Amino acid sequence: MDCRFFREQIVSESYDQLDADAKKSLKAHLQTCRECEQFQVSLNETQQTLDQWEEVDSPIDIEALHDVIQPKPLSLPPQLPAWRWLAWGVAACLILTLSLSVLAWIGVDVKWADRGLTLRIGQESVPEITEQELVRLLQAERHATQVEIVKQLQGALDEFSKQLQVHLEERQKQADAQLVLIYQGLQSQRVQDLGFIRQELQHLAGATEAEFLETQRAFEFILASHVSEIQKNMK
Amino acid sequence: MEKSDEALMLQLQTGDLLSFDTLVKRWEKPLLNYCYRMVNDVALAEDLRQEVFLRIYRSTKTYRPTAQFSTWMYRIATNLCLDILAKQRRRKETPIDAYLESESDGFDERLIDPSGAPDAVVLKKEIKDRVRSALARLPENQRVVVTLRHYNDMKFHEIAEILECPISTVKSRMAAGLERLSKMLSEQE
Ligand SMILES: [Zn+2]
Repeated sequence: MDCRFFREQIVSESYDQLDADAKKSLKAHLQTCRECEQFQVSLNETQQTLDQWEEVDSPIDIEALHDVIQPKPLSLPPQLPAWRWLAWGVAACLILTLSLSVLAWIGVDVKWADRGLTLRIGQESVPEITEQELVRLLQAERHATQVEIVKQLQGALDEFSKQLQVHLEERQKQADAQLVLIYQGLQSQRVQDLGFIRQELQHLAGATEAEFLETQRAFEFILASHVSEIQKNMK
Repeated sequence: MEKSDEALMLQLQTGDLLSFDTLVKRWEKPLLNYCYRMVNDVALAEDLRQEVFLRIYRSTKTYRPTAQFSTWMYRIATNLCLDILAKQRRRKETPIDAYLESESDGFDERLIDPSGAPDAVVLKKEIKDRVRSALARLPENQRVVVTLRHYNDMKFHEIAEILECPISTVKSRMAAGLERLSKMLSEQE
């Protein structure tokens, strides 16, 4: 058998996990194999060294662990014992009886009928109305309300059209007055423009006349000089 | 006579919280040390232990006494530890790595005791640190087996049940793990 197998056997034996037969065959192998014997020696040393590592100890906080695994339930107010519930019930009945007596004494009649709780003050009773009657009354009320709304709307509309008419007339008048003003303004502007044009024309006419006279004088001078030249030549 | 874990679990199923307390008291230390050896971080191990007890409490209703309580408890713890280790590996900031880094910075420095403690105390601390470092460097599948067998006294067939693997796998991982530890511990000397 190979040494690898026996080394596993040596390890098993060191932890006391080897049966008698296996122990016997291992012992036989060790007598013939120096390497395995050496392995056994060094294994023992290694195991002794491993034992030098001390254990750490830090106890768990059991309360904290409880808090994690079972969160504390919310504290509820202590429950009332049964006799106290009974006392509260009796007190409530007494108060109800007393209230009803007081109401009867001051003339208010409280009665539980088919349609619910009814109140009767003195001898006067609230007139009883049937459901159909109530519906009819509500419908009449609604109809009257609708007629009233239509009337009000009509009045508002009339008032609005009247005001609109007045407003339009006023705007027309304002527009007319403005047109007159514009026309007058244009008219006066035109008169001014015509005066200016006339003035300019007069000025132009004056200037043209002066220029004409100047030119004439120049012609006359040239002519005169030509004439004297011709007369000189003829001599 | 002390009640068995399984009997206490059945009592808990009837709503008896005291039996849960008894289970917690019985297992708090081995469970804490198992988690500590797996993740190499006491604070994290305490959180993991709390989580294991919470899960046990929450699955009280589904617990069947066909399985041994300790096997069931260690299976829950193992899964949690391996999950955490996988997450840490993904984040690349494992306390194991941090520990190994500090070791490479100067292992001897940690052995100098400023209080001038006797040599034996320093030596003991040195050995403790060496074991811690070696175990942290062991592959997880070997670390689980070595821890459960050597420190938590679980039998090979129980470990096989916890890990849901054949007993032969457990034995070979145990032998390989111890051989590796033996090498690492002798190298450090
Ligand atoms: Zn051999």
